[in-house]
Amino acid sequence: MNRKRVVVACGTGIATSTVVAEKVAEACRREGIDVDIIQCKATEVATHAPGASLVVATTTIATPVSVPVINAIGFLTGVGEEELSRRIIEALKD
Amino acid sequence: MRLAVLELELEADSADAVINRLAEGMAERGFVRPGYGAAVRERERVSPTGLPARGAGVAIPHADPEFVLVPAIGFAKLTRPVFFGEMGNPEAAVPVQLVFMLAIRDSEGQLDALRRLIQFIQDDERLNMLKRARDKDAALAVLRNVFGKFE
Repeated sequence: MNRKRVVVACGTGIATSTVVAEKVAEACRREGIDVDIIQCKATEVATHAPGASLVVATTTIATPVSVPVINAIGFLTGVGEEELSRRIIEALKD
Repeated sequence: MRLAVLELELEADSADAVINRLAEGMAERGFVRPGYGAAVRERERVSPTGLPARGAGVAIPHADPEFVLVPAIGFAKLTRPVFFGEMGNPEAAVPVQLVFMLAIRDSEGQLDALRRLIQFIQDDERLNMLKRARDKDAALAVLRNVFGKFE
């Protein structure tokens, strides 16, 4: 499988996106998916999205992007976390 | 980390009212600049922080570090939940009973507080202990457990 790129975004690109990036990396490792994770602010998503397979975010992304966007707050609350990991993995499979 | 304000059984009818109350307490005690409350309310409108955890609605309102003089948190437990916008989904509203207002300057401190809060809100036992805390000592015991020792 090709190496995938995932953009992980939050308001500041510092706090919640770090927690989410770790969860995405862990889920991909379990599934044997090679992934590059780019962590950024929500306002920078449009710059990083081209070439990515997926955007995973804890805030709304105001600018339209051409790749799927998945809301990741389940990684913060723990509610629906497995389902969320599964959706991310599905979106990254060829 | 310091605990700047601890409000138990706070009566409030909106998220803005809770934010104002905590921000005023934190400003009076010199932890934040006077504009902090307005900045938090504005940020909440753009990027809401309500988290619908399994055991309770929790919000973690905060603002830019420029308003922070001494890193601290303000905590409020509400008698009746108020609605905060849901993080990542501003059209949804979360009934929130526990509010952790974060006044933190550096990104390392922000991430550390967030990690501690995430562990806490996924831990039904500690969450229930804080929800049921009747007095300051009981609430403080849980908050110390969450954030480590307060200075």
